[in-house]
Amino acid sequence: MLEIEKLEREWRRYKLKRLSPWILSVSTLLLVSIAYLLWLDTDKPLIADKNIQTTEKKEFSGYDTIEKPVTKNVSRTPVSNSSPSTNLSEPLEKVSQPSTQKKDSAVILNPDTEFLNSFSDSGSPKNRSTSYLRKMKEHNSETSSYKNRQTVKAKKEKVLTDSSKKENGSGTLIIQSSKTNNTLAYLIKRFNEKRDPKLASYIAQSLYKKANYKEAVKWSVMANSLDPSSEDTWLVFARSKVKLGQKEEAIRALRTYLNQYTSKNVKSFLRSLEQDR
Amino acid sequence: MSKYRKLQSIFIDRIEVNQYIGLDTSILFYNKLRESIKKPLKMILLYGKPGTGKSVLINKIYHDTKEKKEVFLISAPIQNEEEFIKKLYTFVLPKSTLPEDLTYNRFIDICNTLKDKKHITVLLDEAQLYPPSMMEKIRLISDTRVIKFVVSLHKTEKEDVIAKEHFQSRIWETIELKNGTVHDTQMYIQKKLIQQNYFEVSNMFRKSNFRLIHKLTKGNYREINKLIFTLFEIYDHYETSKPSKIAHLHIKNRFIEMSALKLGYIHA
Ligand SMILES: Nc1ncnc2c1ncn2[C@@H]1O[C@H](COP(=O)(O)OP(=O)(O)O)[C@@H](O)[C@H]1O
Ligand SMILES: [Mg+2]
Repeated sequence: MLEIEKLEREWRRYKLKRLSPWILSVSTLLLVSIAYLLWLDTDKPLIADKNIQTTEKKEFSGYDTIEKPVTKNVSRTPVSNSSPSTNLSEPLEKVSQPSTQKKDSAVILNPDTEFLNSFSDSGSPKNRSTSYLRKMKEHNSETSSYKNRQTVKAKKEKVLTDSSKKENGSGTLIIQSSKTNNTLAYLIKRFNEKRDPKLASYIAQSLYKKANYKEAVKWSVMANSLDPSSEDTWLVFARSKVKLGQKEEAIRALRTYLNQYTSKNVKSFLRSLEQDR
Repeated sequence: MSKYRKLQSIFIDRIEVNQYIGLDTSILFYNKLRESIKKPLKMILLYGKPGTGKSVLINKIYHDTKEKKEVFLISAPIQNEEEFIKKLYTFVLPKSTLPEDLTYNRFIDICNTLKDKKHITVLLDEAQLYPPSMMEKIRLISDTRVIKFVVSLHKTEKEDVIAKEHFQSRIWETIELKNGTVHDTQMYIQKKLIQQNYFEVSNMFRKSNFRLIHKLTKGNYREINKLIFTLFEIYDHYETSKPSKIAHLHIKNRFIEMSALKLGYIHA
């Protein structure tokens, strides 16, 4: 009599035994590649992030409250087709440069991270909306643990600039989706200190990538308030608006931008939006 | 009897001439052997590993030539010398009555008197079972040229030595049978099924099945029989207990592997 169950068990064991070297080698390969990717990524600050994650979250929510006045302030600029406010007219003196300067960073959703190097010297206070700055200062003094955190930040800062240099060498920045939360919190914290428009723009693009379109709009507006000439911020704004189902707003904003600047990217994106209207 | 039981019975190891299958290699050997028999040779050595189809081939030859030629087959070795000589005598002189005191020497004398008048072929299967002394006498009988022997034996290292030492000078032709190729394996299984009108079952086998079967059996026909027998045993079992398990258009390699596990070809 055939003991079929026994034979089935035996077969499963046989199959497993035959597959195990494969499974082993594939999994080790996977582990090695993951480890390599982690190494490529900004791994060191992320580890540090974990320890202060909770406090960072507080600040992240803090950003929300500060955001509101700014949003109101700038959202008028791109959306309402009305006269470009002082915000936009000011940098008009440096006209058309931005679009040519930005040619390398044309791929909107893959921003370069060069700006991370120039944190300390960029972010001219000229561009800051004064009301916002005041609020910011208030907020900073409000948060009691801010000073304590400052030391931790200083340490992290060093590491990030180091790793960003490395990234520039290899050309691209890979953001692991599981890590972006921490990285983002870190970037937001940095922004609160430095008020760098590039950083805001980068945050907006990161949020867009993570499909957090509402936040992406907020941050693109923020970036725009600091540097209205950057096509990237306009594009993230428009793309996020499209994702939120507000296509008309996106089109209007892009037209506003093209009234004053020339940008192939913006033009083509606008055309594509107008086409499948 | 259930379908799979019948299928099992097809692959029971036995030699039936009407179930001979003309495989590429076996046809080659068949023609070679038939040619050899026609030639004025004293002895022909047919050797190969167990299960390569020596017995099948020798039986087929016997079956196909016995009408036209005086061909005789001793499929199981006759270990007793006297019995063996008696048998040979009936082949050479079937009509005359057996002499009372027929010894080996007496038989040689008779053969010498029949020289150039009588030529018969005797097929000896499983010749590795004859003791060396008997083999020596067979050799001497063949020298009379009255009886031509086709000796089939297993090829092992030891028997290679026998082949060399005892037969070298006398064996004019040697034929080695080998295990089948993947193609032979496929032909063997499919032709065996088609022979019994199981066309649809034959179509259930695919190239990957044959490759696996060949890998597991090394193309040895006896092992192929055992494996397919067990495979249909498993199918038969599932048909009564879990029919859904075998409700496929094709043979699953899993069941072939299970058969191999049962037969100990592979181990878990
Ligand atoms: N040409 C063939 N046709 C049909 N069956 C074959 C053939 N060759 C081998 N077989 C099968 O393989 C089995 C073993 O072959 P066999 O002649 O007994 O091997 P050997 O005598 O070399 O040990 C046979 O029982 C038969 O079922
Ligand atoms: Mg045999």
